[in-house]
Amino acid sequence: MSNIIELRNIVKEYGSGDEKVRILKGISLDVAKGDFVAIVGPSGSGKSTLMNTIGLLDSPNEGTYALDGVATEKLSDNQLAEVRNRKLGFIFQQFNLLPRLSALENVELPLVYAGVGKQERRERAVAMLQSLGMEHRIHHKPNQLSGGQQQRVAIARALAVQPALLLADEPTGALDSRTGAEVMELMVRLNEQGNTVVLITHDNHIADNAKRVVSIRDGLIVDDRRNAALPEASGKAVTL
Amino acid sequence: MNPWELVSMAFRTITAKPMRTLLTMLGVIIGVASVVTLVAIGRGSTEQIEKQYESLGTNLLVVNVLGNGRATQLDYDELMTLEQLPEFESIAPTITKGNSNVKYDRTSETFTVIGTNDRYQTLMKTELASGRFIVPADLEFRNPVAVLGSGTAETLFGSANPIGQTVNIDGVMFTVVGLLKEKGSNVGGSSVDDAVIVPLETARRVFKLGSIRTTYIEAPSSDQVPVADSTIKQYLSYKFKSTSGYIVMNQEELMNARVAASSTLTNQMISVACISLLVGGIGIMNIMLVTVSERTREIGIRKSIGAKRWHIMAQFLTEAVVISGLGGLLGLLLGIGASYGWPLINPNQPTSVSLDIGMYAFLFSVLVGVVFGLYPARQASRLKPIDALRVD
Repeated sequence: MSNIIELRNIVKEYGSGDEKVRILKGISLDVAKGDFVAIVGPSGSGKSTLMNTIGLLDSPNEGTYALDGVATEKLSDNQLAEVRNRKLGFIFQQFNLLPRLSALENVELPLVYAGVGKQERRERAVAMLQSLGMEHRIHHKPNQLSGGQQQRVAIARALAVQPALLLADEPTGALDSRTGAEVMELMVRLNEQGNTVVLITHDNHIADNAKRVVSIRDGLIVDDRRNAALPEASGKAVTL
Repeated sequence: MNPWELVSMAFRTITAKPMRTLLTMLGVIIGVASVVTLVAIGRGSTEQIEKQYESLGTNLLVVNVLGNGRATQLDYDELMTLEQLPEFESIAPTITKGNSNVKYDRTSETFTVIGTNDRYQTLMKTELASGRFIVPADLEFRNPVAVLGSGTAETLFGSANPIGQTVNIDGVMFTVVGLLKEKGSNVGGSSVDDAVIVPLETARRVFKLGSIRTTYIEAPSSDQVPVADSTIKQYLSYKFKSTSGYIVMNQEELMNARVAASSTLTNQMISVACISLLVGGIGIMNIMLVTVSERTREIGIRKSIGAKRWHIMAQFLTEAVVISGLGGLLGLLLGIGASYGWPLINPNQPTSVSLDIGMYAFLFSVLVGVVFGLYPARQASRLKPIDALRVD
């Protein structure tokens, strides 16, 4: 089984000189295709920085990172944008939908940047929203949708380009517990359908939905275990 | 992402804040509107000047004797002899008596009396409404006959027919033999409409007017004007034994000089209007920079889902161009409206609306959008996604 993520000795520092702070102190992590990995840790542990590194939003000072077989160290800004576009689907805590665009247009947006023609991207976006039960809301603006609906639109947007990796940063953080549970069910279902999912959270309870839990503290991985509390997923669990 | 999508997206963005967009455009609107209006006024003036001279014909030379004319006098018969030369088509010497009291029945008014010959009618391109013009026999026999300008006739006779009536000009009785059609104002504002035309010899004798002061000379064609010009100057310098004491005005040169003076003024005003267009562009740049910093998060989101630099660049540049182009279009409409409205407020100032200048002004405003949108768009495109996403 091939790895979607291969991180080797990732070091990330901020500031300079004496002020320099080392956030990631040498992280190595492989994530296999089809896996569902939760990265947990308290605030300040470096998990957000790790998420930004995995999401190619920020580049590390040291170490190497291959995403779906593509070495990312030497890519230009535009090449990184293209890799983000083709291989990554972001799900943010604050949904990060564009407020002036309708649900449909938000979902279309990554397809626009991928250069997909107007007709095709509309069909694909509609199909994606349908599969998430949002077919009656496709022309609504984000502020006309509830938090859970907005997150579904955001998930549809993340899935639109059929990415190699779904990257979710506290996806339930802005939702009430019931809606949050629904979104987590959706994440599990998406994983069951074959999507590789990396979930960043500070909440161990949320992390329990994942097949594998990686704990991070002070910029280092302190624990990495398969989730025993997940009864029915064992058949689908991917061994490293 | 085709250009049409970019433009329609930009439209949606700028219409989301209509007041701000309108204020941003204002500089360009005013700039384009002023350029269009000023050009219309400039062209209107030029056309007006050309029309004035056209009404006399550009083959015309005007000889004016300066001073009191007593030292040297132009001789009527000598001038008429010159007419036989091929470079002269016709010659109409005139003597003028301003402020003559003209009376008919109980109506009395002051008019200009022009004493001239039969050539005057064709030279000044006037037409008869009724009756006849001065004929050579009138000069020969010093007939007391008069031809009235349309304005003169209306003042004295109203709508009645003046032909055959007798008018009193400074105490001398004249029979009205002809009535001219209305011609409109001539160069310098003097018009045959408000004149009384009498035979030259009659005027000289009756009113004891001295010498010929103004002589109109027509060349057979405009190519012949320079030859006619040099011949008449030769004659005059022989006659006056000097190159001063008279001036010869060439209608075409006069016209060109006046057109040039008028367009210099217009061009200066247009330059000022262009500066206001540039200032409008700076206003656009300013607002676009504000927009970019306001929409940092949007830029971050777009970049995180795969927007490349040129996508962001194209988005913001299109917005700037749509703002300036729309401003240019509104300015163009405003300018055309103002160009048509101007003569209503100021009837002496005709305007000539020209779409070519409108096109240039519009294209220039689009160019202003490109130039001043470039820097903010570049700023937007160079934001790092991680920094842009951190902003709330």
